[in-house]
This record gives sequence, C-alpha cells and structure tokens, in this order.
Amino acid sequence: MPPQHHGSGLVEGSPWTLVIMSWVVILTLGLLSYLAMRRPRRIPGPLQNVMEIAVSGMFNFVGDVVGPGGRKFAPFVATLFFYILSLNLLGIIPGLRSPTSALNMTIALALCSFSYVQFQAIRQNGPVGYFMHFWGDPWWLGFLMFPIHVIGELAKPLSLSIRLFGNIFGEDKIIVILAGMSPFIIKPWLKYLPIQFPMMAFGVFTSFIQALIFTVLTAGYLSVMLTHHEEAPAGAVH
Amino acid sequence: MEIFEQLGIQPELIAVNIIGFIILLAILKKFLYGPITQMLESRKEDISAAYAAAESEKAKMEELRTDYERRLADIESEARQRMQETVKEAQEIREHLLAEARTNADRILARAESEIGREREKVIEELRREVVDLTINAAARLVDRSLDEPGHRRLVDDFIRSVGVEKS
Repeated sequence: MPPQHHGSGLVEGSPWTLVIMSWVVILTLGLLSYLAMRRPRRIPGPLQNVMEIAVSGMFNFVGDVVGPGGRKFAPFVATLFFYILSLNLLGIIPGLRSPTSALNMTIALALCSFSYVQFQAIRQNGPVGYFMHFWGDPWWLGFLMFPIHVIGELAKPLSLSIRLFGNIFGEDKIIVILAGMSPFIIKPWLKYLPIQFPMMAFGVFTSFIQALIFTVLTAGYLSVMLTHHEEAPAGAVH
Repeated sequence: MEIFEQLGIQPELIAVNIIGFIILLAILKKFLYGPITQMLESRKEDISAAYAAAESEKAKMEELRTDYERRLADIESEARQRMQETVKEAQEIREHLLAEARTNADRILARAESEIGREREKVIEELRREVVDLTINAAARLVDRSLDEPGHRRLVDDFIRSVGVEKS
C-alpha cells in the first residue's frame, strides 16, 4: 500500500484543505477590493485609503525595481505580493496553515512567475532576441553558454518555489512544535502559556519578507529581460 | 514520479492553484487596480488643475498687487505734485498780497504826504494872512494914518514876498 501523502506530504491534512484555504483568500481579497473600490471617492474612506496606499506603493516599488516602463508589469507582480502575503499570514491564525507551506502552491506561483517572465521576454525581445539572450556574449562561446543560461533560467522557478515553501513550512512547523512543547518545558500550572507567541509575531515579519523576496525576484527577472532589450546596442543582443 | 509523490506534489493541485492565481489577478485588475489607477490619475489631474488654478490666481493677485502699488505710487506722486502746486500758489498769492500791500502803503503815504503838503501850504497862507493883518494894524497905529485897505495889503504882501525871497 503506497504511503498516504497529505498537504505537502510532510504535514497532516488533506491537500485540498490548503486549496480551499487559498480560494478563501482569493475570495477575501476580491471582496475587499470590491468593497474598497465599489464607490471610489476623491476623499477616500479608511479601506479605500489602505488599498490605495498598498497598491500605489507596490506599483511604485515595481516601477523602481523593473525600471523604465516597469509599471505595466505592476498588476501581476503586485498580485503575487498580496496573494503570497495573505497566504503566508494565514498560518499565523491558530488552527490554520499557510497554503504556501505546501509545494503545490509555491510551485504553482513559481510557474506563474516563470511563465509570465518568459512571455514578456519573448514579447519584448522577439523570438530571436529571446534566443540570443540565452546564447550570450561573446557569440563564439554561445554553444557553451546556451545550456548554462537555460539551466539557470529553469533554476529560477525551482529556487522561488523551494525558498518560499521552506521558509513558510519551517515557520509553521516551529510554531506547531513550540505550541506542543509548552506542557513539557513549563510547570504544569503554566502549560497553556503560549510560548509560540514570539515565533508567531516573528512569523508576521517573515511572511512579509518572503512575499517581498518572491516579488522582488520576479520583478528582478523581468528587469533583466527588459534591461537587455532596451539597453543593448543594435546588433549586440546576446 | 516517485519523488513528486514523496514530496506530495500533485499536478492537479498545481493547476487549480494556477487557475486560482489567474482568477485573483483578473479580479484585482478589474476591481482594484483599474479603479485605483483611475482614481489616482483623476486625483492627480485634480491636484494639477488645483495647482494650476492656484498659480493662475496667484499670478492674478500679483498683477493686482502690482497695479495697486502702481496706483498708490501714482496717487502719492499726484498728491505730492498737488501739494507742491498749492504751496507754489500760496507763495504766489503771498507775493501778490505783499506787493499789493506795498503799493497801497506807498499810495497812502504819498497821499498823506500830499495832504500834509497841502495843509502846510494852507497853514502858511493863513499865517501870512495873519501877519499881514497884524502888520497892517501895527503900521496903522504907528503912522496913524490910514491907507486904504487894498493899498495896505498890496504893500505888505510885497514886503513879505521880498522878505521871503531874501530868506530863501
């Protein structure tokens, strides 16, 4: 009988539970967006204000990271950030788990990021420019550089997915372990003391940082493609 | 794939998660990014318009201020000019009045001198007449003879005139 794998295969629970949780996040974000901008006002209310600050901040950030013309990629990158941040923060809520602590989710996100970057690279540079990007410079070393660049490109989604999964999974796991340890390391009358609380507070920070890293890397990958396209002199595309 | 199975990687879950992300992207684009971008743009335009209006108002105010300052300067200059004119006029009137007074005084003085002269002549004439009368009376008493009056008078007059001629 094959082993039963649930979630990421390393923690208990049906893998579909995390999918449902991610859909709850999607619906919540959608609902919040709708409520915030249902009747946009010139003098914004609290929710609209928060949304405006978050979105405009993220758009400016992406614009700065990607460079000139980078704001057109901001919706995609900002969505990645808000989605990953929300998924990460879900693990802080007692009884819930971060959907990003499962490889299925992080691989999906990394594939989205990877596909989007490749699509934009082909769109911006053209198929030949895209190929020449992998061929590299100088041209006579291309036959060596091409496989290295391809492997490097394929490593990007792998690193994105595993980094996010590892960090969030580890953070969730530590919280669970600390919560389980409290009856053993503290006197019996203090066994309900939430010693995992500092880790949960730290989890808010790491959730943000991990979402930011994923987003910045995606923006960085886009930037590499765009910089290549816009700054290389004519005929010197590598 | 054994490794995928061990890691719990299930392609169908990955596909569902990708679809979920794409749907979220679509929802956020429609309900969040679009309206917010529009709102921010519109607010930016509003602010730009407000700034432009404020700048225009400021320019107008500056123009008005310059105009008022120029007018004030004109008014001050006009007032100063008027004052100078008034002072000059007053000085002219003063000069005129002084000249007139001087003329009047001279005329009055001349008239007074003339009157004094006339009075003097009159008094001299009266005195002469008195002297003639006294002389006639005295002479009449002395010579005890009476001459006719016109004769006496002519005689004395001649005498006095001769005396006046000698004295002068």
